[in-house]
Amino acid sequence: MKDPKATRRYLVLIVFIGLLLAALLYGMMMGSVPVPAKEVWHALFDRTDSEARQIVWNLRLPRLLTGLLVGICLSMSGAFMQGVFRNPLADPGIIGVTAGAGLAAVTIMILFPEKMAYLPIAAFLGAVAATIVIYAVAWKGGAPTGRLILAGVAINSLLGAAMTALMILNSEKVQSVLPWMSGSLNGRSWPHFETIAPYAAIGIVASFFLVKHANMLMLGDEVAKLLGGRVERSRMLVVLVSTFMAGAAISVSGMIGFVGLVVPHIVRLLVGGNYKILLPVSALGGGILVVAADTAARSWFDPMEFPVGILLALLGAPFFLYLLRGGLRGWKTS
Amino acid sequence: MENVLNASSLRYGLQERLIVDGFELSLNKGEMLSIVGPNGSGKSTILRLLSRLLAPKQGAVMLEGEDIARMDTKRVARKLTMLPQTQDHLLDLTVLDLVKQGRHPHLKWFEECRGEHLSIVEWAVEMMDLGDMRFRSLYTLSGGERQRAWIAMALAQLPQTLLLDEPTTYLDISHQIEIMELIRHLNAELHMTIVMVLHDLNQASRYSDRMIAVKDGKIARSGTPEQLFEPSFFREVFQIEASVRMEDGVPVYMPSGSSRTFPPMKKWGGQAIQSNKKAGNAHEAIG
Repeated sequence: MKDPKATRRYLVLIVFIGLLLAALLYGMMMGSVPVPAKEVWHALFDRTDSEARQIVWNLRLPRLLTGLLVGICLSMSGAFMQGVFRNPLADPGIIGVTAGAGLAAVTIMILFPEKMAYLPIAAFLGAVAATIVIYAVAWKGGAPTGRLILAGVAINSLLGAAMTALMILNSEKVQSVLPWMSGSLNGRSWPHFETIAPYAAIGIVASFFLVKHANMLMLGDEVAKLLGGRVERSRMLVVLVSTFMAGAAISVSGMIGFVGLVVPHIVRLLVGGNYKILLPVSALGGGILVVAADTAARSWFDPMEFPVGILLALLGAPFFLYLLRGGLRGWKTS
Repeated sequence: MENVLNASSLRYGLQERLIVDGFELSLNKGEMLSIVGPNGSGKSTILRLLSRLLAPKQGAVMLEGEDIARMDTKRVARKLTMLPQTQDHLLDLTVLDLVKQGRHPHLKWFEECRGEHLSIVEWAVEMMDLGDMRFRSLYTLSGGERQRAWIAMALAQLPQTLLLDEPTTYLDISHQIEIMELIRHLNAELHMTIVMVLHDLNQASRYSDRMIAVKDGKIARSGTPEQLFEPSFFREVFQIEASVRMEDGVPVYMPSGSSRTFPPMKKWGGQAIQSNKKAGNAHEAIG
């Protein structure tokens, strides 16, 4: 007997790969100077000095690839979080990634604007540091998910308060912080891509070694222990890798929310909850969403540019509510 | 007889209150044992101590002569496992994917569930009569089917000792008996040693070689069902009046009342309640 849904899973995988390629192509074509598909091809593969190559290769491609990695990292991280915390609301924000990165980034932007070049690394370190603090606070011979969530809520509000205080005390500089706060890929270029690429690569590779751990944690601590799993170690590994990826993403894009929450839920509806398939399809889904949304944010409102984070929330929240009405798969929402 | 599981003077508690106070056990291979007792008597905690989910404050659990607390996690999981109480977490996972998890302790970290491992998974699926549902998602199953899927996962672990925490609670009677017969079948065919916490005393009597009755964390009585089943046992451990008779060579009981006497009823407001409307008012006034 064959799994009747196996074909569907492969189909989803192929369709998602197709959608991603289409989104990338669309992103290279669209903008204030439209480039036809045929010229995109030339611009990519012929080393000419045409204007099209300038636009496609130096402006649009690095931004698209950065968006791709941001989307991949955020949605994989979100998929892990929901499984580890067995909570449909879990996303990287829950263990302080967003607040930690936010405080570090705002500190740089407001207090040390001359050190802007260090912003991504500071944000990344802020994210990781916040997670470590939350884990340490929750740890008492082990860190069960309930305690991690509560410690996360407390530390998050502390960091959030510090960030708000910083902004109120320096209200004249807040304008420059806003695009970052709402998540934007404006002006991201090859250096940004090169910043995120190694972290993303490490995170993605590490993730695939954690599939078994995540599948087991999903069954709950007791069952995982009875199956011979080392629950605390597995959970720490998964949380660490999730933080690493989400931190890397936020450090170049600012606070893009919702991707990590929405994408894994949609993917679960399509392919089920086994991480072996959930994780790669979520990665593709996150990539598609951020690449497509950023292209829309950049080209649909020309000459204005919209921060992609806001567009994602504006489109994502209603869609998420629509899904919620139908009942999220695998979660008690009724 | 070969001894598989031993517990000596187990003590466990939160802060000062002891939940388990001096539990002893010597379990032979192939035995079917049930632990019974009133709510809050510490039955489930005992099972958690035996399966190493909890560490005792005092005493030790020995699995085949080795201290379970010092054994490698995976090695314990290859010999002993437990089915926790009904899983209410609605997972979007197929039955087959769940049962495959049972092979985890037998796989190396890079190994996939293939070949012989997969045959064992298929065996467990067939054993629990889940063949038609192997690709169904857990949350689409009924309570009984889901319980069978979780048992299949435990079976795929091929444990020599299987602990079950109220495996039939929440199931209707036909599923209850099906599960109990299946447990007996596993015991008879695979010589699997069984320890189960049961609420239904007649089921415990029918399906176990030996029973341990726990009360307030202590062993109140232990022995074969024939030794245990007498009116004084039901009175002391469960505070009920019951008669006992033999049925098909197995002792069964029938409760005839509670040993507890209830306090006299009060008439609220000094008079009997007259109408529904007034009854509502009276409740509001009280609550």
